[in-house]
Amino acid sequence: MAKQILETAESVQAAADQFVACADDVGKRAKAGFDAGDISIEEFIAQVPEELRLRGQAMVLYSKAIDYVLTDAQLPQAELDQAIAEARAKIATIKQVRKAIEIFAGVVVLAAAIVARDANGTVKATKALAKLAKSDEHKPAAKAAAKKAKKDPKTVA
Amino acid sequence: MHRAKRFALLFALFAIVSTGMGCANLGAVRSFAATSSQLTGYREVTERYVGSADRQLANLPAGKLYDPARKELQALKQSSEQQKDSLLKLHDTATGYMSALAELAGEDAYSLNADIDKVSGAITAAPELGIGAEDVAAYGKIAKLVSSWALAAKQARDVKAMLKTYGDDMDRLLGAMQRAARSYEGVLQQEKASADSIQMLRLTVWKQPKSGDGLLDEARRDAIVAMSNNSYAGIAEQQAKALQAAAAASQGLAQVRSGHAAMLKDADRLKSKQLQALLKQAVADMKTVRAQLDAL
Repeated sequence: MAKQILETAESVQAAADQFVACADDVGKRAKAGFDAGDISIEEFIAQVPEELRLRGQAMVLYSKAIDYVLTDAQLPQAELDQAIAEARAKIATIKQVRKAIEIFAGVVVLAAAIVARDANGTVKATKALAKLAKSDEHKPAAKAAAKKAKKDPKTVA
Repeated sequence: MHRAKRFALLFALFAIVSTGMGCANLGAVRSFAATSSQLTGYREVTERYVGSADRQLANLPAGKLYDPARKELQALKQSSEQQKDSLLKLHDTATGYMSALAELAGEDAYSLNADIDKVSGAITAAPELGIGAEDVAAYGKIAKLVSSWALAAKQARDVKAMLKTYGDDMDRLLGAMQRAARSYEGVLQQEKASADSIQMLRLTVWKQPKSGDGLLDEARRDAIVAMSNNSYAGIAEQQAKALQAAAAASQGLAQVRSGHAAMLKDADRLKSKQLQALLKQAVADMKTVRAQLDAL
């Protein structure tokens, strides 16, 4: 029965509250008794360790409740880690779209330079594309475009 | 050649933005999620809980009478130190989820307008391609409108899907954190009560003259009592602040949980005025708690 009562964080915390109430009672009685002259200082001194022991037991129970909390949180925590990963993947996809558009803008500049037979412009645009290729996202697409432009500028236009 | 090329380029521009993903009206959701991701003071209170046993062991009288209390504190020390990483991970997961939600609902997270401008700018700057600046501007405008429309819808869908799929798990995690915070408060309250009792005991004993005390007359005893009280006042202040911080952390968690529950309930109507007003109030409340904590 006792085991059943102490199987959830809330029930263990409720038990800890009872120990706190006992400790408060021991402390108050000792102080009131001493102040009223009903108990000696030696008796008063002897009550404090008992009060602290009860407070200690209460704290161990509060801590025990946290063990239950952590066990209960394992499953939702794993699911939420998955949620975070999924959200980041979605944001990463949009970043990839942005990168693709950036590469497209680079290809337009390169195409314009090739059409105009502007050698300096072609080199500059190829370098810009190669730089894009060095970034983590959309490496293959930018690399392919830059490689193709270097090999045969006319084919890009 | 020019017509075909122009058409191909503009089609490509249009196609790219159409397959991408605007900006939904998720301001209240974003603001709530971003503010919640700070989860007011929880981490600091966790650290305070974990350090409680050490502080108490250092203050406990050395006598054998206190061995039973010492044993309990040693057990508390062992369990709280073992729990520390897992407790901080709970915090990291909850803040990570709220932060990811805020990012997903971000104002410009799903907007491609700046990127479309880059392509339009590249085409306009290249008269060799034979495409007029007016044409580019017109097509760019259409591309922005279409992408904003499509992406805003996608953004709202993604935020809603995240809430609906994982909202219950987040609620359970926040519930678990609230229960942990209740234990933190319990331990910190007992730390203070124990320290108060030990201080009272020390002063009581010190005030009682014993035969053989010699030079310890009343004035000297008073001086020592005053010094002890002054020294303890600093400790008591720290403990009171720790308790206030623990209460604020619990309050902050309750606000996050209730705001999140409202979002979950209205996941299909994230733009509803009622929900937005509720989330704005939750943000204001969390900022008040944060300000109180900063003042400690």
